[in-house]
Amino acid sequence: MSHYSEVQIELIDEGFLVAALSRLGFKGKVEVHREAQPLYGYQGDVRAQKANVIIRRQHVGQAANDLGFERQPDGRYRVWVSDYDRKYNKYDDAWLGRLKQAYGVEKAKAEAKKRGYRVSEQKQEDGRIRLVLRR
Amino acid sequence: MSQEIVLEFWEDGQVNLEGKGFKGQACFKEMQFLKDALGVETSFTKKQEFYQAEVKRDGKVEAR
Repeated sequence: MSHYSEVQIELIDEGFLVAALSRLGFKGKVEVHREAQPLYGYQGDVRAQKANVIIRRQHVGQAANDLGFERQPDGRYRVWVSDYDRKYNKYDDAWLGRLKQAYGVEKAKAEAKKRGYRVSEQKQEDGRIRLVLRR
Repeated sequence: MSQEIVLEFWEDGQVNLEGKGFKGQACFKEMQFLKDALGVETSFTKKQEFYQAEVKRDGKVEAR
């Protein structure tokens, strides 16, 4: 044994962001665009916000707006969620935390396998996900 | 002792990493790829073994 680290997960990689969204129930429902595309509101109205990774409103919830992730110049994604969907469809900070959790799990598994580790995954009762890497 | 890395992903987007079975800075070096892949390190705690000598494959001992 030698050290502990604590890391705050950042959404940077498009492929793992899509994998994380799939893990949260949006498999096959995620649009990916090289150029950011407009987001639409619940009445079909075009919003000022654009995004590269989009979940259209019909998949988000009742009377929902599009949910989007816009790539920033530094490579990180900005998350666009309407106030309504935060409040009534529960796409709030807790959901964003679970998205980062899913992203981290997917990315860590892939990186570890590339380096020859065997990976086991276990979901804990308190919501934590534990990965053990061995080689 | 076999070497393993344990990651605990919390629902708030934080992850704790722990290296087991490594001597000296080998753990630090080995876990770096995960830190680079995941995000920003917010805290770091050395355990006793971090200060122990690292035995290399050729039998030489590197003091830490």
